[in-house]
Amino acid sequence: MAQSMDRREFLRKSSAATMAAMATSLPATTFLAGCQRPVEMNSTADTVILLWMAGGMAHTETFDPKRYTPFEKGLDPKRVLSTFPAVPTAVDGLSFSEGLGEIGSVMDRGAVIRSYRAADMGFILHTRHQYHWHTAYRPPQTVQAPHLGAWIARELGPLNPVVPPFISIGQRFEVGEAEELKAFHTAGFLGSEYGPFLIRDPSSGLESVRPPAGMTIERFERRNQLYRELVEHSPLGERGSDYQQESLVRSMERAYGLLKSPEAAAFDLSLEPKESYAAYDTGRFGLGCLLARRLVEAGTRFVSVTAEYEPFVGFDTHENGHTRMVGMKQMIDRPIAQLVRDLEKSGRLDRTLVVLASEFSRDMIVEGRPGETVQEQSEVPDVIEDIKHYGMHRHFTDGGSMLMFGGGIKKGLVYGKTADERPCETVGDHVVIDQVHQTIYHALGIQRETHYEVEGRPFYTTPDGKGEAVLDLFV
Amino acid sequence: MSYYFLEFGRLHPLLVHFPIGVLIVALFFELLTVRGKRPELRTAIHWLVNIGAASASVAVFFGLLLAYTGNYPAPTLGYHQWTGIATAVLAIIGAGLAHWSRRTGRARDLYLYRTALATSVLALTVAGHLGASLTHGEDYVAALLPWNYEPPPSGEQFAALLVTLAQHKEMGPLAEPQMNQLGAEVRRIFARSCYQCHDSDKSEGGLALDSKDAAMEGGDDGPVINPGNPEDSELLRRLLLPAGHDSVMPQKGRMLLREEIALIRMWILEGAPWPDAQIRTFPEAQLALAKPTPPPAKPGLEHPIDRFTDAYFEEHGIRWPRAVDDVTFMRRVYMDVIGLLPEPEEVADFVADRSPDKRDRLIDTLLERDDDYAQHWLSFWNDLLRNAYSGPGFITGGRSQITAWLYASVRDNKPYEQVVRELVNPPSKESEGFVRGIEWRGVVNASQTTQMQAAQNISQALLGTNLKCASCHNSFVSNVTLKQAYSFAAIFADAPLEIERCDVPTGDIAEPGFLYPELGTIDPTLDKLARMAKLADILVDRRNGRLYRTIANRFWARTMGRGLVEPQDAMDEAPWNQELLDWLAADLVDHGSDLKYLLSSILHSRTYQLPAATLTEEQARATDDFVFTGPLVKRLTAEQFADAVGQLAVPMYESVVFDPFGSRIAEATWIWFGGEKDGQKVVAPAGTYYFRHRFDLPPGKQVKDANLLVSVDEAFRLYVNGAPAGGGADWRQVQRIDVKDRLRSGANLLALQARGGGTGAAPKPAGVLLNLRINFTDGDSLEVRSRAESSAKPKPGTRAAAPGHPWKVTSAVPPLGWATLAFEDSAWVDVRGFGSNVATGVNSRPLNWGQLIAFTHDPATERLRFARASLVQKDPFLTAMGLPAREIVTSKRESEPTLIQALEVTNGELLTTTLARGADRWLSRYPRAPREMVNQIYLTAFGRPPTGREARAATRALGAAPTREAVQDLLWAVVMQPEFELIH
Repeated sequence: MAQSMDRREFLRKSSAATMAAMATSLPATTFLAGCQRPVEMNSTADTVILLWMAGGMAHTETFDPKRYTPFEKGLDPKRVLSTFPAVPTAVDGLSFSEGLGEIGSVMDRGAVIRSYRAADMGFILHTRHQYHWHTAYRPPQTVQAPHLGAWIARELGPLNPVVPPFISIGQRFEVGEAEELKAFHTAGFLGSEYGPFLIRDPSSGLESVRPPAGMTIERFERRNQLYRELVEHSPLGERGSDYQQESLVRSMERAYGLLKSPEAAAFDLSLEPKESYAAYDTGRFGLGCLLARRLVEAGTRFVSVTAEYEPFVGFDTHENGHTRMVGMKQMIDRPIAQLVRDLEKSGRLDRTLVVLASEFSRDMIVEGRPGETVQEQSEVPDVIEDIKHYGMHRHFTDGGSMLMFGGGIKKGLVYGKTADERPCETVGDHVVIDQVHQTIYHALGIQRETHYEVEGRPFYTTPDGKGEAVLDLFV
Repeated sequence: MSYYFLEFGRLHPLLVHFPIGVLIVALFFELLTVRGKRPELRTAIHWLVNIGAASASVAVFFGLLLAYTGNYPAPTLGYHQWTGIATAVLAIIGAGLAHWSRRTGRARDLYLYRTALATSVLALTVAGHLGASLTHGEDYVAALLPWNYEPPPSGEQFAALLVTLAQHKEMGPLAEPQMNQLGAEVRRIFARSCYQCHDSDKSEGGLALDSKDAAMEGGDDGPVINPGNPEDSELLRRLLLPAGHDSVMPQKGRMLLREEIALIRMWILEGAPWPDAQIRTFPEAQLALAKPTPPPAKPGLEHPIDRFTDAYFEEHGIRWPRAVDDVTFMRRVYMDVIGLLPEPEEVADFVADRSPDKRDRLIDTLLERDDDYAQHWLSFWNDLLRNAYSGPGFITGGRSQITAWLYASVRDNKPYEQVVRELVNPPSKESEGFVRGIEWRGVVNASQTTQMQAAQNISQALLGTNLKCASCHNSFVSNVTLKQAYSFAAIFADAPLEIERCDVPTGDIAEPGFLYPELGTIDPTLDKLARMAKLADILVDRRNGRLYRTIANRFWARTMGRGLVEPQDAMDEAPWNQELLDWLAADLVDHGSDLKYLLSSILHSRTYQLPAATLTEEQARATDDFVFTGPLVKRLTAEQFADAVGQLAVPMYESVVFDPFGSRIAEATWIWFGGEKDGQKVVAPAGTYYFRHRFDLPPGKQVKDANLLVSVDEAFRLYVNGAPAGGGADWRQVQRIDVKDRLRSGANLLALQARGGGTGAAPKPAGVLLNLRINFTDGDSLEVRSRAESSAKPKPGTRAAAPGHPWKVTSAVPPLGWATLAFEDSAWVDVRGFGSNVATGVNSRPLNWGQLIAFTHDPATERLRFARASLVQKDPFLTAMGLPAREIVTSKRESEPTLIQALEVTNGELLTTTLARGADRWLSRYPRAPREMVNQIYLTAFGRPPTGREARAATRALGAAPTREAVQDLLWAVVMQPEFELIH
């Protein structure tokens, strides 16, 4: 371009007088423009555990019970708001749906948010809403949006350098919509260094951080020794230092370091005392909570445990909703409460933010959001004769419940409210995903302005850097 | 003196401003006192001079520290240092004289003092100017601060413009070009720093700065620009507020540089010119393509590329180093052309060859290996055209592949012009996937409609233009406007396309048109297909230099490790050698846009044979000031690594998603026991199952030959008409069994006892894949296939299936004689079919059983030698090694090693088992010859024998009688070597 000028030319052209005139015509503050330090933020948490209720967890069946209508033949579905009775929790005036007594008993350590409003993206699709929940961006995007955990890994790194900063437990990728699931289990443009360390099955967590199956530790060490010797003797070394070469060797050392480190034992659930193992063991999810606790103790930064998404399985109840919820509650109730108690006992709860959430809620009648017409995805008869139709089988995007414990969150707080009659939508203090993300970032002391330049434009942690933390949640 | 203390020299540029300010103010005050006026200032002036002298001395001290540690051009540094010291000395003298003159009260002493002060300020001005030239601006101090990751951009260019404009002004009022330049530069600053909040979409505080009217109108509180009167302009006032002030602008992002503010100040002073003519706010590459004449040839430097390089080297004071040795060259050129390691025999022959043109001949030979070339370059095109084998959109038919078309195009080296035509204006369904894009379920934002994707992808992949910003609003980073992006997208729209700004409909309908109308217009009344045809014509026009520069740059980057322009998708960035880029692009056009010619041209240059440039971390990460000294060291891609491991050990993959030879047996599908639990289909429990299949051969026909292919996960025994006919225990090894002698006319029976994998509660999917082809002497043929009854609809054009009964299966141990024809199997159940694309395997690796490349009756010469990684289903291994998701156009792979990657290669199952099987292979070849084995492993992996020390270490590890484990571990240690993973 015409005005671009090389350095020499510039020096030749500029004259002392003009430069001095220019310099003195401006106040001194502008001289220091580049030195602004980001405003210090006090963090209230160092670590995040996300308990992911994949599949759409109905708020009226869990943490926001409404009028209970027991099953009977000939039931009018319009009458049914909850298929379980409400039972009191440790917090005065706060009731949960039956079957969540353990979690209820620790609610004096945390907050329930009853006003999560998922986005309206037309056709309801679990994986799209999950993508939105985990990245704060609506899919698809023109660039690969990073997962919340990847941002945190990039901004804060691990607490302990040998442990991966972002660990995702429990999601297998050979179920339906696997590709859509993979689309947000990524660090995207931040680079795979910050991507999730995937542990598909908590019981085999150790497999990812131990020598290959069938290899003794002695052989593993010998193998590494041989590798290092060959690197040392390689004529490549004579060509002088090369960054790429060194970083390859360094990354191998890191992996070896992790595999040999005492922290690797954190991945091994068999080392957990029998009693405490049993306290968590309600299956893959429960053991995932146990693994999360161990990894937090070892120094990871962000760990998610999922109830696992598989179309029409788990929380994705398109029929037999009531019956299946009994099982789902058994699966999550004990381990989550145990996790909170254990973190508290070890003194970690103060600096560990535990978040429980789901991509949207469910309802028996309403599909989508009140007043919006979208394609109905499950059939609801006018009169219920079979118990398989008794349950929350339709996707409802308003009024979802979330829990938060520790990490500076108020104790015993009930935030937000939903209507007591259908549609049981949010009636106050609604919370959207940008706020959820910013609340988590706020707890961790990550600035709202945090962004990454991709293809020449800034990409913020929340869209346009506008997410607002819900400050009322904090002590 | 510690090193860190020395680092405080960096405070010098900060400290110098103190004496500058103080001494200038002192002199200014002093001038006010001339002729005995304002005597009340006297004491203040003396204080100022004292402070000025002291601070100048401090600044000099720090300056000397900085000079000690910093790396500055010597002459300028010397001048700056001495004028700086002079300033301090003069200021001290001035301070002394001031003191003296006050005591004596003599006018002469006063004049002496004033002269000293004035000289000091003069010296200061010169020193300040020289200092500013040395270290440009405050980012130098900022760099010392740990929280400041990104130093702000240099103010040098703005300063240069300021100086130029100031010089023009000295000669009279600014002329139109200068005014335009000033206006453009200021608008560029607005775009960069203000549009985020103050464009017509957002207009925070009611202010928009992206149009003349809006900018002059101002915000909610009235005008912010008072033309001709900077001091009275709210805009400038806000810019000048101290950082952290509530009202300071910008609120987001970095503060403006003083040079930027000075430019805005000058702009307002000049009346805030805003020429009506459209100004290209951002630098933009020329469209037209002229072929520059290469500099004169020199002996040994006849190739035009080398002549450009030579001129470049001369300019940068670089001497031609010796070309790389044969082995390095060979590995490099093999990897770049076909993505494979040279075989040890090929290396030996090449090294032994004494003819001077052997490298040229090798390049030509490799380029002729059409299928190998296609299997390597396919990955490049898949990334660029986001052609994937799986991903969002495939489930619902919202996406289609172009693999078959792409492979054929690459293998046949279709002219690039034709490739682009067929992509943009698909003549058949085969190539329509690229412009069709990904159709997502549900509502997507307006920037992701399929027609917008087409516009974005064509722009990015083929033209190096970023249209993504402009698909929501006028771009902040280029000149592309929302309207232009929509016009481009409208070409592909079936119905009139309404422009949406940031997802809000504007009511305007986009008129179809191309981004660069100077190349041609598209008649909006044409229908979609005609518009696409017209677009194809415009795109490939020779005058569209962008298209050819973009692909030439990508090919250069692939071979040289870095593009002439980086990032490769931002072709408006300046190349480090414009002439070379233009020549490459024009030469490509002159040769019928023959891409192999382009590649060949680069490879035949001496420039390509330069030793690889090794970089430090800083150099590797730096984005500007690139100086070319030779190709960069490249890391193997995921596919190259997998294929190289395959060559050294055994192939990592056995089956492909796309078989370019089409030698698959489509009609056979995987069958197994259909497990059920609670009415839901589940994986059958692990265990042994029994299969039977009865089929009939027509009477009176003579069997000429009958070959049976079978693969069972994980073990089986086969019986034909009751007699054992074979077995196997590795599904990867397809068994070929000649059963001619066991068949008879009429009813025949195939029976299998098969064991499924997995243990106890965690079964893994298992299956049987079988195909028997029977050729009769009269030329007829029949096939017997494994398949479930329900999926038995024959496709048109498939071979005839032998009439038969459904396959039957049982999990109960059957009585003796179960494998005979006479056995009654009506109590057995029907098999369940799993198709030919079962995603299964250990750790649920998708295996694509149905496309086991060995599962074919075709002779070995007519099919894939092994499953090249570019053709297989993406799996966790390839993902960890950097295979991109291909949801978006990818023009550069990540090459930084990561922890996840290192863990995958350290203990991942796929690599571990591949190397274990590889160890068996090496052991069978060199059972008791560890030395020879080490030698051959090195020759295969690195193209060279081991050095003495390497050989000793490796042989010691193997021992006299190597075990499988020892060989496996050696193979691992070898493939982990940087020499293996890097291309030098």
